[in-house]
Amino acid sequence: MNEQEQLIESYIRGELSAADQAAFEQQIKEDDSLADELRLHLQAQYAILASAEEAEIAKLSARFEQSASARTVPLFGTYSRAIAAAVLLLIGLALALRFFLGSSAQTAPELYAAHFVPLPSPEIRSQTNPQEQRWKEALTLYDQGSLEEMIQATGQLLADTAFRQQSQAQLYVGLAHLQMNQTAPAIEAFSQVSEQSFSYLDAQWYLALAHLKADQPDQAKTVLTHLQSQPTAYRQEEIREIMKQLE
Amino acid sequence: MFRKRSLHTDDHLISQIQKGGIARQRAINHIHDTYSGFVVKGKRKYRLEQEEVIDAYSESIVGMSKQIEVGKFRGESKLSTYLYQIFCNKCIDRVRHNSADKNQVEWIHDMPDMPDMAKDIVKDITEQEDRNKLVQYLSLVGEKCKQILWESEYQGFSLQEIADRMGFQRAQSVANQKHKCMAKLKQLIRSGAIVGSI
Repeated sequence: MNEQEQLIESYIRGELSAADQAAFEQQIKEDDSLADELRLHLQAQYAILASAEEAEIAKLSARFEQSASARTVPLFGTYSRAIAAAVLLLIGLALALRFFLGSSAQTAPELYAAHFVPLPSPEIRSQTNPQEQRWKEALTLYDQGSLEEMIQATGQLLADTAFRQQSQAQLYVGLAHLQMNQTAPAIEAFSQVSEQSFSYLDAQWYLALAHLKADQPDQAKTVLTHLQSQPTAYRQEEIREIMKQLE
Repeated sequence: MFRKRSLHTDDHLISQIQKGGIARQRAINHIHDTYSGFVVKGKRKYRLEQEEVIDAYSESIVGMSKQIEVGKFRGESKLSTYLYQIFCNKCIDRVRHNSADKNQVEWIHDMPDMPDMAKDIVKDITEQEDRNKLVQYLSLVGEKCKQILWESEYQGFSLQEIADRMGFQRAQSVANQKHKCMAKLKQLIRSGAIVGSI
């Protein structure tokens, strides 16, 4: 960044002293090219903020649609609430029966079986480089259930430093291993997901499930406790339910 | 009965939004999911189409997060009350068919430290220039540039966080790349690569 650009940025951010700001504004009045440069910088910043804002609004709206469709049970239509209530009643009766019959809590692998639902593959919108194209192909293998081939293809990608979706890929490699009953490599893959990535919470959830499947309840509890401490509510009810069973 | 955990208090959510980056994103998603019932209320109250209410709701959350980021909302009222007020106003705008500037970036208010002369230029840009045309320039800088510019300028990720997310070796590499992207964007705007109607 050259000196002029740095000065413009400092000015926009209000970081100049009163004297420097006054001097800079005087310069702008006298120098048309500097005034043009300032306007261009502000146009660029406006374009960035406006486009990012539009994208975020669109993303949130899509999130709403997704969660709404997830909540809908079209087959049952208007009777869904009544059916749900009946199912809850039955579950309640079953639990009460278990309690009175003195039945023991579920084992860790049973808890895994009750809670494991594989994630659908993510949508890869941009394929601007060969690595993204290869990642999309690997996810197609995942969708098709060709899990071994998917793990192999993703392994090569993960070794490629130009591949950007490392964390997302580790998550899906872990899921593939888990579905193949290979808990140790699944745990290893989930643990590789960066805390900074959008895949982190999902990875932690499946890491806990992998520990359950491997009959390691203490490790599962540690991960679930960590998940509960996250700022965003994530599968809170499911986590509470599992924790209760583990206690 | 499910009770809100203390970690999700208004104060905590506000501080997470102010942190930027992933923390901001998670807090926004949490707020979005928690108060999604507003959409049903808005649809019923204002007799708007579902899509319009969903957009109004999403805009309200983005608008609220901006107010929090610049310190204009510090928790004087409950977050839900504040969000609902913004949401109702957005719905009323739509009822009045006054949504032409629904996505207008209120940038002047969002940057309180910006000197008055710069604010005047921004005001002139928003009044004189085609917003859609300016937005389209971002589609010409390439996905990588767009991500760096959005994450650093809008979403509040640090350069190190962007480096980690995008696989750069160092934060300085992101800074260099960001500078190149900004120069590319300016060059595109200067050349008038997109022809639009004002």
